[in-house]
Amino acid sequence: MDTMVETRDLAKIYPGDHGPEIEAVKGIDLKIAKGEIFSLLGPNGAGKTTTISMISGLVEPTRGDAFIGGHSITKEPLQAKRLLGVVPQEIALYPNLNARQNLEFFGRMYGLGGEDLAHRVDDALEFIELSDRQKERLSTYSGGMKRRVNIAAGLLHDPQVVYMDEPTVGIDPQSRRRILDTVKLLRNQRGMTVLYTTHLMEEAQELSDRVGIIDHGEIIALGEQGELIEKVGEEDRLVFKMGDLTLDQGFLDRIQTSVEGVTAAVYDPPGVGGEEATNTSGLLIVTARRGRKALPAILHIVEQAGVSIQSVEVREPDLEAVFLKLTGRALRD
Amino acid sequence: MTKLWVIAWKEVVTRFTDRNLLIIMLAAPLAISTVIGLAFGNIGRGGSPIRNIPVAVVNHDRPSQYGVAFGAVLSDMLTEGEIPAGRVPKGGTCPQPTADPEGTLAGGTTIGELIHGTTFDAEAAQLLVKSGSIPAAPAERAASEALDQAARAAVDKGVYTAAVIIPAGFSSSLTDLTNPSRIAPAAKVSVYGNQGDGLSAGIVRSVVEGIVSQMVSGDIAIGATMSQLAARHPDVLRSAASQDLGALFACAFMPSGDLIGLVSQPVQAAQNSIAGTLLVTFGSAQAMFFALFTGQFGILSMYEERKNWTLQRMLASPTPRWAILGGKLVGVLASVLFQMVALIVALTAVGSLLEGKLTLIWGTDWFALALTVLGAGVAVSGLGMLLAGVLKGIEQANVVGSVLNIALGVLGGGFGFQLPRSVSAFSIIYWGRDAFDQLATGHGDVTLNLLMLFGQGALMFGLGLLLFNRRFEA
Repeated sequence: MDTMVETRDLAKIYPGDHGPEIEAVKGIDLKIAKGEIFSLLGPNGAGKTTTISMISGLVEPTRGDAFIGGHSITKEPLQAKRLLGVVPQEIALYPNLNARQNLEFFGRMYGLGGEDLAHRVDDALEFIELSDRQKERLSTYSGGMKRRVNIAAGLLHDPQVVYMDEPTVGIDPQSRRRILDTVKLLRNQRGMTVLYTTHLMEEAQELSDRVGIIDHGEIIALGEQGELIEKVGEEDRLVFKMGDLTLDQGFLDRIQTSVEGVTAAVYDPPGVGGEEATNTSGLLIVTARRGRKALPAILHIVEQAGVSIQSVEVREPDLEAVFLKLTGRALRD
Repeated sequence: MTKLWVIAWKEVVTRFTDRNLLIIMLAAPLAISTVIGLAFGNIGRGGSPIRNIPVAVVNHDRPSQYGVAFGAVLSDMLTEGEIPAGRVPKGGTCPQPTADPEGTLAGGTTIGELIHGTTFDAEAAQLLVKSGSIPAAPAERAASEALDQAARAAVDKGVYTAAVIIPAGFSSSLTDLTNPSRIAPAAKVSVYGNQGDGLSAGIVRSVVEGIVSQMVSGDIAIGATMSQLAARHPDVLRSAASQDLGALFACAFMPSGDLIGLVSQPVQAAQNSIAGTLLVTFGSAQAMFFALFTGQFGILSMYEERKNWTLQRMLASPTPRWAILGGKLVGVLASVLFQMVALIVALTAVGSLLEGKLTLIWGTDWFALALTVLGAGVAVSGLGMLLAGVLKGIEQANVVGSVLNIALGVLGGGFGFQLPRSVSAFSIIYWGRDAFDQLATGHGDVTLNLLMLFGQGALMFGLGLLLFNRRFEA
């Protein structure tokens, strides 16, 4: 296996403002193969952004190093960065400039120029299907169109590794589908290595060759999806849609202790809408070894508590179950 | 290095394609300066809303040993609007005008129409004391000092808009026929203005400076002529009666003479008209005031770029940090310079429209003008850099930066009134405005101004860069 991205004991310690130091990343060892789509999953504050920032050369590691195509990001930053394309979650573009001007600017930041740059910009605009609107200010574009330009700006220099941070946040399903197809295309046609972060499990499941789950600054699970699912055994997940209810911890403890086979009960309260929305908002998720058998007992407790349920779904083990099992939290926590 | 220029160019393009920024950078200062120009630009055409500015004229001057009384000439011009016939030789002695050199002798507002001067003597002061308008001067004060103090008090009370104080020895400092080539430092005529009516006081100051400037230059010219005459024909000079010489001096300033025209020459026909002076004074202060915002928010936009992730995107590219920071700084400086040059050109157009002909209101010393623009750009960018280093983000900068800019504008004379130099010198706007004023009037040395602008700019720039770079690295 040709390794394209590697971290060795990569660690970051931030000085505490008024207290002890904060160890955001605790010495991560990771290898991502050439042409692989690797998803890094983790709840907010788990150390995901810090890890990626160190790999991208935005944050200097306190300890260890990261390598891109064999180049150390700390010792040969310019060589390493040449191989890396970055697609941030934010629309990291200039709204006053048009799509072409934005692409040309970021192309020049990667040393491109002249006819080569012009051709690449033409190709990129064609690839994202915005050739006809290339001279319009970015501020006039829809969210999906901006996302496509945002992606194109990270791919213009034909990098060997592309880091995509939640590239589908806040866009319509059609644009989201187009972006997911683009990611697959990049790997299949150009052989790019993709480092992908998302909080949407279905995206990670659809795209990833391998998944890394990070929590409290450590990689707590790493492997192919099948391998990770095996780790949680044969547990099912019973997903109760609760609406706008507030459930106390005593209620959850009662389910967990009094129903046979239940190993965890987590309530994910309703979240906010828009870009922060998740696929698990307002859900009571109960993990049980034999879910269908445990269901009547759970429904009985629910009825006794006077809680109304909108719907119930029994899900076979998947990546989300792995995450829940390993972190004890839903991904949006 | 190429990437530095790419970033600098991007900075200029994004700045000048942002409509909101364009309003702040160009439209607002141009509009404010033009309104002032339109409001007061008609001064030269008889339609000015400003007329009969009440001025107290305190004349301590005595004729020089040659009988020349420049103080009386100045006083007469401010109080009578012209030199009374008694002060000049009998008819026919003065040379007759050959032509109307500027084509502006007819129709303009004259000094007599613009300024309503009153001779302020002990009697006038006593009347004001009796009416309770001003307090009586302490008994131990010398008479001349008491008179000056009374005139200033009358200005403070609003009886007059300004007091023009002509010092003793003013004429003697100008004329020395025993050694005509000697250029003596002129005893300074002071103009004490009412701070509540800075514009009118500014006009009085401008008029007085114009007259005194012409007296000085006329004296130098006459002195040089005398010097030549003394060298070639010493007998002629020795035999000349001092009274005749005095009259001849006055003749040089007569309305009928085009040697040094003052009285009937419309104000705007002077080298720097009132309209032009106002455009330069307010225009330059406004240009610098708004350039402060451009400089500050240009550099502070680094925080905005960090928030939008465009900064991280640049940092993730194979671009050295120094090129990113350098490009940003060069771009901001270029934007400030472009803004100032655009305003100078636009205000020249406005001034020319008001004058009805192409008028170089900023003067013709292009090199010094370019240096002043550059110095102003460095100073405002330096302040922006310092604030970027000291302040913690764009939100803080919005508040602190704006308050600071307004304070500098107030101190520097950006809002239509001028504070004493001892106070206004704390503002970089003052140093820029004063330099532009001096260049526009075609006299004065702007070396100190340039030193202050470049010096302060470099100091603030260096300190700000040090502080900002620490944060940037973090």
